Amino acid sequence: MADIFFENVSKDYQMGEVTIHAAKKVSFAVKNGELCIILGPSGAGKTTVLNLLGGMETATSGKILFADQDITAMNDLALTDYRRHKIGFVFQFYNLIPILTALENVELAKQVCKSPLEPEEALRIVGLKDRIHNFPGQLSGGEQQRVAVARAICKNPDLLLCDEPTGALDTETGKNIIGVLSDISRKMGKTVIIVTHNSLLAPIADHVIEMKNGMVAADTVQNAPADLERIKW
Amino acid sequence: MVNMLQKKILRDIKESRWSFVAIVCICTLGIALFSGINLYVSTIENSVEASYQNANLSDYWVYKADVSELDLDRIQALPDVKTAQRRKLLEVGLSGGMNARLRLHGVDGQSQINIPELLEGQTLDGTETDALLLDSRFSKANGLKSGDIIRFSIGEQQEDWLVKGIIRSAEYIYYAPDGLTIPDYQKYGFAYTNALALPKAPYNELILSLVENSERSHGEITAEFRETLGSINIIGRQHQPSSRYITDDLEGNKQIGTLFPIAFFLIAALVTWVTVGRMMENQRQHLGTLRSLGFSKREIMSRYSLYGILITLPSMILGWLISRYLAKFLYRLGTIYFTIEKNGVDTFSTHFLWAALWVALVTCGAALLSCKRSLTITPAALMRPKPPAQGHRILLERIPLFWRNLSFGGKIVTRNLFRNKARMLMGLMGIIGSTALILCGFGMRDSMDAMLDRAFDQTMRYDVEMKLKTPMTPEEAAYIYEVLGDAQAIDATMAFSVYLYGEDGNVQNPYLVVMDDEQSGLRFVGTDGKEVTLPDNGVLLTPRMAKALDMGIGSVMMAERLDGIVIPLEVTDIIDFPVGNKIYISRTAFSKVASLPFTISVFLIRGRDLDVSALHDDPHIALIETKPEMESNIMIVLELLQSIQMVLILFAALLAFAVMMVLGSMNYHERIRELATLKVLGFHQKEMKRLVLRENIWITVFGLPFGVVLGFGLIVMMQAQTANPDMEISPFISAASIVLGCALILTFTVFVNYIMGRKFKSIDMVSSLKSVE
Repeated sequence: MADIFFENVSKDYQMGEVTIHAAKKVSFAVKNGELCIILGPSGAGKTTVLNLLGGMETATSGKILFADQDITAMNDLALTDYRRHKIGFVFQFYNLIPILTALENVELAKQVCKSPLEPEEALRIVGLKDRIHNFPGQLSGGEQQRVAVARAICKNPDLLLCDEPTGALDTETGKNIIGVLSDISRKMGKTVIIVTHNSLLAPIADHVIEMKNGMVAADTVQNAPADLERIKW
Repeated sequence: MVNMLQKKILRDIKESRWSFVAIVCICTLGIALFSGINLYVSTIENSVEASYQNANLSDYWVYKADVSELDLDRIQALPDVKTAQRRKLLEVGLSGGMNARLRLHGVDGQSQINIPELLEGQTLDGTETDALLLDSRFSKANGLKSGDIIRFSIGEQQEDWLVKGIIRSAEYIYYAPDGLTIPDYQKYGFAYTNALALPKAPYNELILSLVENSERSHGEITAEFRETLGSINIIGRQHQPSSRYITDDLEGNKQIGTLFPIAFFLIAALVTWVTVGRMMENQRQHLGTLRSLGFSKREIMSRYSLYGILITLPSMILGWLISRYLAKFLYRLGTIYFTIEKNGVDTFSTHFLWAALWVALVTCGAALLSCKRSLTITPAALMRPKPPAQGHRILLERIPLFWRNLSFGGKIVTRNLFRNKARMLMGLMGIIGSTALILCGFGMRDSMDAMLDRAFDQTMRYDVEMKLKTPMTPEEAAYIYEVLGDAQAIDATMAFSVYLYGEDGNVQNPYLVVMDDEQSGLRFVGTDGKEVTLPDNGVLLTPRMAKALDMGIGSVMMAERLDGIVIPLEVTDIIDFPVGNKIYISRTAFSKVASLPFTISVFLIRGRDLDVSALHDDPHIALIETKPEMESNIMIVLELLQSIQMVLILFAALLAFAVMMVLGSMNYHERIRELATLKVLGFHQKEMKRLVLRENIWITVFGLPFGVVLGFGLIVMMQAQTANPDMEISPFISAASIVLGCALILTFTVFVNYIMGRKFKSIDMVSSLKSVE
């Protein structure tokens, strides 16, 4: 059963007198449990699509369905609940709360959802064991991103959305993070969508959507994704 | 290039406009309050001083039964005396049911000292025998103009006099004789005429001015005069009723106008300093970019001082405008009973410049200093995002019992408070300061009310006070006792003015009041709160007088009557007496130290609903005042003070609000990323508010008790400084005021939180989280 549907979704930004069409009639479908990568150069509309799917923005036209729910029809309150219970977000710049320790940052997410993972468990999944009582300022970038991922999965979301999760990290660290994300998809059966401009990542995904100029340029389902270890970038 | 930099700064300011506006408001309030009150005081001071100069106001008034020409020559021959002039002073009663009285000065020749200022009609040429210059206030109250004829009785004789001119006088700027609480212009006036118009009256008044550089003390001068003239009454300018009242009045206002605004300024400066500093902190990446583009440090610094200038200039203009309004408002109230030329409030006083300079220093200083601090870092480091603030464990976490029982939100709030100590301190100081200022304003009211309560309910037991025009022996006053047959008690008291000399030239001029040993009109209470009866030996002194003269129980003071008779007075007890500054002695004790006969000058009468109408037109009685009349008159006198208090409360409240606004908006702006993160995580607005805004309430609640304590401190300091010589106001803040003040501050906090909370809705998650700007 395909869980996510984009049907002719457009998003316009009004910047003074100029209208920017960030997404133009985007349509695609992502199946439950897929590891999906949205690929494209800067300004292609990938982040817009992710934000629309995450309920952080509302579409100008078109329809977005998630588990048969129409996100585009939701009001602010419903969107908040949607983010709260269904979505986990990971950003390029981690966005951890600096005054909370790693563990507490994860606990923060636990505050708002119904069936969370134990924060320690979430941190174990992302491979952070020793330094869970450190503050973000005391952690390296890769460690911080792990905490961010742990915070996202602690909510036990149906869908994990990652916006350039490796953008601020070096290759090796980035690879580790991607590894964690693919494990979450493969072992926990979560739908994971990763936005990136790095096409070298594409082979590991079940599903690659390429975007250009706000439109879907290619939509490929890969039946035999490559092993992460063999990827070089 | 430079223009672009300026443009950029203006845009930055637009970004953080609410903090900016709040800071401008705070600075405006500080300037307005300080310069407004002082502008009012200095305007009056200037016009009073000008009127003294123009009139050539005398330094001394000397009274003697008959001042001969020889006396005049001798006085003039003294090295310290510049000019001296004789006058004939008598009191005349106006005929025709008005029951009004004039103090009539017959001047020997042309006025050289205390020259009246002609407002209407003509002045005297020195030869008129039946013309006078009449007090403007009196003539207005009685509907008289120049050219009118008034009839009054001098001794037994009725005479018609021409009002040749309407005048005012520097001697009578404030004129409330006979112990009036406020002037009664319809009943009391003054007038000037030629000495030769009063052929039968002797010269009994000598006015004189001293040479400018005279270094003699009041004591030395009076001793010299007495040596020259024999037995005389002497009043120096400091103790002349009008000039003394004005000095006291202005001094009190000046003290309020200094202390309160200074406290106000300190808080405003602190908040401004921290806020401007933080505004600059938020600019650090821009600074780095500018540096890397090749702007020199000097260029950047000089441009960023624009921040300070852009705060100072509007605050100066607004502050000046408001200070003028404030001064006008106070001036209107404060000069009701001052008969001086009212040209309105001066344009500005130097206080304004000082206030503005202070604001400029604080704002530009804060901007430049923190700019300079940032510029010491290399441009490259500046351009990198500021390393995220190091989280660290706070002390409270070491108390497991406390920490474990804290909710998750509580932990966040607590840790955030302690992480950002500067902001917390600023918030705390702002709250503490504004709470203290508000409570001080409330407290001034409370203290005054308490003082009045104490004076009218506890100290004064009598219901009617009756003052005699001239002292009477008990035999002469027998008929008054008859009229007052229904009274519960009548205390006859003798009162006369005395000079008391303290250390280092301090001179006090109180009344010595001689009372029956068994008097019941007044209730004396010691400073320990226990009731005190009039002792058989020695006198009772108010704490203020004791402090002014540096006297304690057991000290002996030499009281000098105006006629030079000296009475040794031992201080037996210090009494807590709220109104007036008199010295009390029993008849028994008085008879032991003075050989003067007991004469009655004031009756204190107990008894409700007494019919004293028979005495209203009695020529021997100067004044009959009931307790309610006294109370309402005192309230009129205190109106100005009350208005000032209201102004202070209002300003303190505005300051509190502005401080909260700055706090709230800074907290919001600096945490917008965190807020966006919470929003993405799916936190509801209510939950976000709990996590982020609650700390403002914590700061407030934590700061309030300290504010109350500081408020007490402030009011104790204020009252110590502003003690009016005639009132003993003990610092006091009522429970109701404390509750009200705290509630006000809390309301502001909640209100600001509400405003900030509304902004949560509009936080754009996408752009807030996109990148570190």
